[in-house]
Amino acid sequence: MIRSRRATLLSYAVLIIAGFASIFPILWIIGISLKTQTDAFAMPPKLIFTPIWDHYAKVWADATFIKGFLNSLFAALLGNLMAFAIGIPAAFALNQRRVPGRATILAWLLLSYMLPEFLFVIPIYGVFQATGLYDSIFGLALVYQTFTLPFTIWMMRAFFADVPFALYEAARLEGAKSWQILLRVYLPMAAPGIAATVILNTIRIWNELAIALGLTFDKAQTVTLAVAGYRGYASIDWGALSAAAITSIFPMLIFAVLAQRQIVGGLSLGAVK
Amino acid sequence: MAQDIAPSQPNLWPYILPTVLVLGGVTLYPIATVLWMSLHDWTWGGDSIFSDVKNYRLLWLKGSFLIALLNTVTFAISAVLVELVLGMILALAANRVTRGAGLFRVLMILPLMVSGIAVSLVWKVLLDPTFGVINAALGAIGLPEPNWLGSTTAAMPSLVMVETWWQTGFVFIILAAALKSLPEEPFEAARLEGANGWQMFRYLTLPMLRPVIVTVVVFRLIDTLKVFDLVFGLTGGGPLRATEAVQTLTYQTAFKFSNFGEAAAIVVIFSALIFAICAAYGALDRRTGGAE
Amino acid sequence: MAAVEFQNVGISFGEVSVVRDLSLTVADGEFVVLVGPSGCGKSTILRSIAGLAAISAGDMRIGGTRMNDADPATRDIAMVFQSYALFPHMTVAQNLGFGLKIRGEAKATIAAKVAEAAATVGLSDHLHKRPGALSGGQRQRVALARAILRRPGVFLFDEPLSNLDAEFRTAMRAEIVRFHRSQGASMVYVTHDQTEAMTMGDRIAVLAPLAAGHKANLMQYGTPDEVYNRPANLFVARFIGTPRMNVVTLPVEGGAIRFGSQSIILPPAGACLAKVTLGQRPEHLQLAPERSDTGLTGSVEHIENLGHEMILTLATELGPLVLRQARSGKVPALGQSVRLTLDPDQVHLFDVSSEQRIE
Repeated sequence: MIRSRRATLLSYAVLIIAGFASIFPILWIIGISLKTQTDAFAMPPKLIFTPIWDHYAKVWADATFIKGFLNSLFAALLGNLMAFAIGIPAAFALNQRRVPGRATILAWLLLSYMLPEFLFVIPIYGVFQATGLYDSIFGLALVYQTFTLPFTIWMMRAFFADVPFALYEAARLEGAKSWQILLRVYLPMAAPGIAATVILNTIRIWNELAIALGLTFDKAQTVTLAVAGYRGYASIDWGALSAAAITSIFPMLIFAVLAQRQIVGGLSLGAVK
Repeated sequence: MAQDIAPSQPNLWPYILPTVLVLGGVTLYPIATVLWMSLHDWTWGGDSIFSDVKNYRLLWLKGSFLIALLNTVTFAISAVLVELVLGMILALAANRVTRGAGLFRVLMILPLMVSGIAVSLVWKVLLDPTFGVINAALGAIGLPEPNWLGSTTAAMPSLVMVETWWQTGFVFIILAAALKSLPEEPFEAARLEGANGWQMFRYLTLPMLRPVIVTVVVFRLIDTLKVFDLVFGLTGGGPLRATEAVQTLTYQTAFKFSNFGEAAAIVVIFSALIFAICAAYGALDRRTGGAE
Repeated sequence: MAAVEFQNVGISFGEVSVVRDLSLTVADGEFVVLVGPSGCGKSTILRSIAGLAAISAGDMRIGGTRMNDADPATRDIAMVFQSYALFPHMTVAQNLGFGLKIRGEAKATIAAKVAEAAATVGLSDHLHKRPGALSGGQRQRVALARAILRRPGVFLFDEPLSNLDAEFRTAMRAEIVRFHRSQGASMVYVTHDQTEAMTMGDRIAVLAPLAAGHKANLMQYGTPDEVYNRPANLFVARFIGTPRMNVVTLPVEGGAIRFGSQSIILPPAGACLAKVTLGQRPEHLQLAPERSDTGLTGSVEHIENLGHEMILTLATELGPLVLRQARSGKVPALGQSVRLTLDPDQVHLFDVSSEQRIE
C-alpha cells in the first residue's frame, strides 16, 4: 500500500512537470505578445508587467495577416465540404463487402495520406499554373483532399461500422433506398463522429504549410504563411511576432478546450482502428 | 464490419466514383507526372529533354541528398524514440491518478493544436541565445548556455526537442486510451501471483499494447520523416546543412532553384521509402490479424 | 394475408451451402416456428422470406407469387428483429412512421396510423420517447407496432424474446400468441428455444445444420404433438424434450429386444432387423416396485430435485439413463440399486443406420 502511494505521488509529480512544460512556452509567448520591447528583453524576465495591446493592434492592422486568416478559414470550410460530400458516400459503400476493389481503394487512401506533400505539390504546381488554379483557395482545398479525404473516409467508416446492420435491414424492409438509409439512418447516428472529423480536418488544414507554400503566392496565402512572414523580424520585433503566432493559434486552442473529448476520441480512433 | 446485402444489393459504384476521380486527380496523376519529370531536364513551358537517370545520378554525386536523408532519418528515429518513451511514462502516470487527469489531457493536446510554423516561432524566441528565457534561466543557476539553433552540434538535438514538445501529446493520448481499454482481470490475477509493478508492465501491459505501439510508431515515424515546418521555421536547414531535411531540400531544389527534374527525383526516392514502410506495416498488420 | 411456400429452396453464402432442398408451406394464417440448433439455417430461411438473404435454388412464393428476387419492401411482410432494430436517434413515433415517411405519405395519415398501431400494443403514452429511454419489453412492443403498422400478410420474428429476462419472456410468449389470434396473419417465428417452439407454434419445423452431414435441413414438420410424440428421426427425438430422450441400441433376437429381463416385441418393420435403436423419454421410464425382478438394474448416480419432480441419472449396463418422476412415494438414495422398466407403449424405434423412425 505504501509503495503504491509513493507511485501515485510520483505520477502526480511527473504529470505536473509535463503539464507545465506543455503549457509554459505558449504562456511565455502570450506574455511577450503583451509586453513592451523593453519588458520583453528585460533580464531577469519580468513576471509582473502592465499588458499592452499594441502588438495585437499592429498584427490586426496588417492586411496580409488578415487576408491569410480569412483564406485559411475559407480553405478549411471548402476542404471539409469537399471531403464530406465526396467521402461520406464512399465511406458508406466501402463498409459493404461486395465492392470491387475495396481493399485496393483502402490501401490507396492510406498511402495518399502518408506520402510526402511534395510528391503531389511539384507536379500539381505545373498543372495549376496552366489551369489558373495556382494561388486559389479552391485549388488549395482540392490538393488538401490528399489527406482530408482519406482521413474523413477512414473516420466515417469507423463510425458507420458502429451502426448495427439490422438497422440497415429494417430500413430496407420499410422500403428505404440505400441513399435514404445513408441520409436518414447512418448520418444522424454518426453525427458526433462528423463533428470530431470536422474539427480534426480543420486543425490539419489550418496548420498546413508545405502545400500552401508551394501552390500559393499572394491572394490565396494562408495564415501559416502570414505567420511565417514574421520570421524575418525574429531578432527585432518579438512582440508582433508573438502576437501573430498567438492570434493564429488562438482559434485552435479554443477548439482544444471546448472539443477536448472529440479531439481525443478522433485521434485515438484514427490511429487505433 | 462488412456486410452482405442480399438479394438486391444496390450498385455501389456511384458512391465510390467521386472519391476515385478526385483521389486519382490529386494523387495518381501527379505520381505519374513526377516519375516522368524525374527522367527529364525539366523546365516549365520550355522543352523537356529526356535525360535518363541523370537527375538520380546527380543526387548521388552532389551528396546533399544523402546528407538530408541521413539528417532526416536521425531526426525521425530520435524523435519517435523520445516521444514513445515519454508518452508511455505519461500514459502510465495518468492511468494511476484519479484527479486532474482531464486537465492534464487538455494541457497535453494544446501543443498538437499549434501549427509547425507557430511552434517554430515560439521556440525561436525561447531558445534565443541572447534574449531567450531558457538561456537566462540556465545562466542564472550557473549552467552553460548553448547556442541551441546556431551550432552544428546542438541544432539537431534542439530540433528533436522541439518536435518532442510538439507531438508527445499524440503518443500520450493514444497510449492512454489503449491503457484504459485493457481488461483488469489479468492484472488482478498477476497481483495474486505476486507480480510487482515492473513485471506487470513487462509481461502484461507491453505485450497487450504491442499492436497499438506499432501503429503509433509507424504513424509518428512517417510524420517525422516528412518533417518540413520545423526545419523551415527554426533553422532553414542550417547551420551548414546540419538540419537539412529531405522535404526542405525538395522545396529548395524545386521552388528556390527551379530545378524541378532533380526535385522530382528526390521525391520519387523519398516516396519509395515511405511506401516501403507503409507496405511493411500493412503486411505486419495483416499477419497479426489487424483490420484492413 | 398470405401463405409462404418453399419449393426445393437452396441458399448458399459463396461456396458454403446453408440451406438445401427445403420444401415447406406455411398456410395462410398459420403460426409456424422454425427451430433448431445454431447453424441449422433457421434465421437464413426467415431472412430469405424477407429478402435479406438471396435464394440460390428453387422457388419461394408469398401469397402465390414467386418472390425470390422481389424487393424486400414489396413482399407483403414485416419483420421483428432479434435486436428490435429500432432507430436510436428517432422517437417512438418517428420509428413507427419511418416507412410511411419514406413512401411520402401525408403527415396527418402518418400520425393517425402511428397512433393506431401504438394503441394496439399499449404504447400511446411513450410516442415522444427515444428507444434508449424504454425498457426491453417496451422496445419489443415498438418493434411489434412497427410491424403491425405495415398490415403485412406475413409477420416474421427472429428470436424476438432472446433479449428479455426469463420472467418477462413467458408473458411475452402469451402476448404474441394472442396477437397472432387477433391479427389472423401468417407468422413465421425463429427460435432455438424448444419451449417457445412447443408452446407457440401451430406447426413446428425442426431444422438441422448441413454441416453435421444432413442431406437437407428439414428434419420434421408437424404439430407440437406430432413432433414430440412421433419424432420422425433421431435428430428430432433428441432435440425436442428436456431432459433429452434416452437412446440405446439393442440387438434384435426373435423379433424382440431385451431391456434387462424385460422383453419387448417389435412391430414387423423392426422385427426383421439385426439391431435397432430404441428411444424412450425420461418421463416414461419407470422405477419397478421393490423386490420386482423385471427390467434393468441400475444404481442411482445423481439426483436433481426440482421440488415437484425428480430427475434421476442411473448407471446401467446400457450406459447412463435418465428418469423423470413425480415426487410421490419413496425417494431412492444416492448409490442405491434400483430396477427400471420401459413403458412398451411409449417406445420409439429408429433404424440404426438411417436414423429414421420405424413404425
